[in-house]
Amino acid sequence: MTARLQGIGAAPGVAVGRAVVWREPPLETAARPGAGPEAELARLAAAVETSREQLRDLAAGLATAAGEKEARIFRVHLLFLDDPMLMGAVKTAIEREGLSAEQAVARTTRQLVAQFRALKDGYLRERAADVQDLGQRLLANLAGEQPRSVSGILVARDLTPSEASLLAGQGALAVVTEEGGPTGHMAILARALRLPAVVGAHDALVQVRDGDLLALDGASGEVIVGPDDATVAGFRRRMEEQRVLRARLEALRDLPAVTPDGFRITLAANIATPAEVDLALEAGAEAVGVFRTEYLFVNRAEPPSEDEQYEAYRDVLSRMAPRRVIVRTMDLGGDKQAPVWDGAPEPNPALGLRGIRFALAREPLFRSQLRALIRASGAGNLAVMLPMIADLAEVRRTRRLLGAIQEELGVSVPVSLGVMVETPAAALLATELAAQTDFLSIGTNDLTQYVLAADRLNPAMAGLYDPYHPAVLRLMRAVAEAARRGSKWAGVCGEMGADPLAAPLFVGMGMAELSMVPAAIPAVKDAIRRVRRSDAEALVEETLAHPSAAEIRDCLARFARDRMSQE
Amino acid sequence: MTARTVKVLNSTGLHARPAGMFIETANRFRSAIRVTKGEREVNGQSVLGLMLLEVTPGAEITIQAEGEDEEQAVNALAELVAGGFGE
Repeated sequence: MTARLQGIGAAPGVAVGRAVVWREPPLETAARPGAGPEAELARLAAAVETSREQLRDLAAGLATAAGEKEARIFRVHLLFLDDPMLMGAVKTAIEREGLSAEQAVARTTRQLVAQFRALKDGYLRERAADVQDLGQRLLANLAGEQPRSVSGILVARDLTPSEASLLAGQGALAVVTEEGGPTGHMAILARALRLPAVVGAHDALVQVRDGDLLALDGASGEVIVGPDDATVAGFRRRMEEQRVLRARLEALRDLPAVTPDGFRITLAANIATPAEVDLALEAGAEAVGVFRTEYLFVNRAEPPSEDEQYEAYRDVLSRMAPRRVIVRTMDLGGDKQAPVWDGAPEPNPALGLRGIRFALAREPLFRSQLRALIRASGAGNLAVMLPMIADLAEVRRTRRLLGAIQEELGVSVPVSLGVMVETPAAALLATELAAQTDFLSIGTNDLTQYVLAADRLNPAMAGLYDPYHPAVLRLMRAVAEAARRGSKWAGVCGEMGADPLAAPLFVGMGMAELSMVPAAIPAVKDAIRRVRRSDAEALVEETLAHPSAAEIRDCLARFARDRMSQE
Repeated sequence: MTARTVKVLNSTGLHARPAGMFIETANRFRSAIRVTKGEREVNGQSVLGLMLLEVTPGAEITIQAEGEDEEQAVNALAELVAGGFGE
């Protein structure tokens, strides 16, 4: 029988394979009587030396397989191994209380773990896992156990760094954990090793039995337990497509998106989790045009802490640096429900409390996000973008909040602030919005839906819902012109930005940035490199004179066939 | 005994790497080193102890040393901390 789990994508890539369910060894030991302090201290010393050798080997092995950064965690474990607070307490317990080495290690480790777990700082609190990991290593070595290995898809509650290092072995295909986050050590390691990973897959250990067939997507976070033959074939096809795409990306990655007559556009990536930064860089993205932050808020009972958000933002900013990262503030409500904070059900969610309206209505939550962003801003090149703007007051209120937070945190560097143009109101107020912000980014999906009053999820509206509708395109051109007159930049970040057919239009309108799913970047880049700016400008005039989406599409197809150079 | 209070200026506070640098410096001296923040005091030669102090950026810590080279030890450690751990 097939079951589905939805986790958070932590390392991109798809995989199909058998599950290896990982149960963590308990930090408990059989009550073995001590053989006397002297003998126990000697056993302890031997286990410490074995551990030291293992950690040195692990650090060296990981430095080779994944880079020095991934090896660093084991250098921290080596420091712990010599720490007076750990080893001093273990030795005292053996000498003064007559405990066995196992009992002394287990008790001291438990006490330290409890102290770390009580800390407020998220990073320091996570070090509890490192202390626990080291304690388990010492206990395993006291028992003379051999290190384990894995062949298949590792499924676990969570993995300590030592357990995660098993992924570097030959047989590991992918990893799924119930806990953990996309910025944790395991996720970083999996990305460095190019192994797909899904974290936060609740109930994975309930749903998955050892040996079950799994198919998973490490970008979307989808895990299928017991997939049927067609699904397996589909995943295998995607694995092949990925391989082909990678090869194609290689060829185009380092070329700029520039027209033959020298007009340059920034091609950026839309990402939904920190894991996708790797996909973006691999595809040659020059920026992140939208970092959607909803994954931090949905599918959970409690809102994320400011620290948790800070870690996520800092992670993305630092990995993209010095490239710009536009972080879109929480775009909840509408079709993106976050169960915990929902008020009364709305009769018409698409026209209700969503985007910036939701954020401003829950100011403490919004503040935590803005504070986390400002704190993380030093790690890279941050821009903040507000979704669903329909009124200038929404921008002014956010500016005031940002100003107050910057003062609180003593940060004086101004943060670039922009808005998404998704409502007809925002498009019509583009001149005023450009005057009050640093950039305008057109969200074509919602703009189309609101301009045409056609629900894009309603199949009966499929004939009307079309971003190539002249009403939508004329507004887009007006937004680009308003930005230019205000000496600001405009871009496109909806699905239309990923369509090579539309690329000449955007060149002609003078869009500065197109942001899209990373996989679409090569095809769009290829189109831009084959269209002259002067031709594209004439194309905009010609196209927008047509009264229907169908005629516009025909016109663009003809242009692509006749007027774009074939390399 | 020599003691000095300094402000922690690096971007993370006393996380593993700066704490490791701290004990590395502390271990170069013979003096016994203690670090206090508020009412908590820990062994200045213990990475675990320093991390458990939960020192965030901007917090003040007091470094104390007792022994033959206590002045040099406190100077070296205060310099390391005040210099933002070379960030």
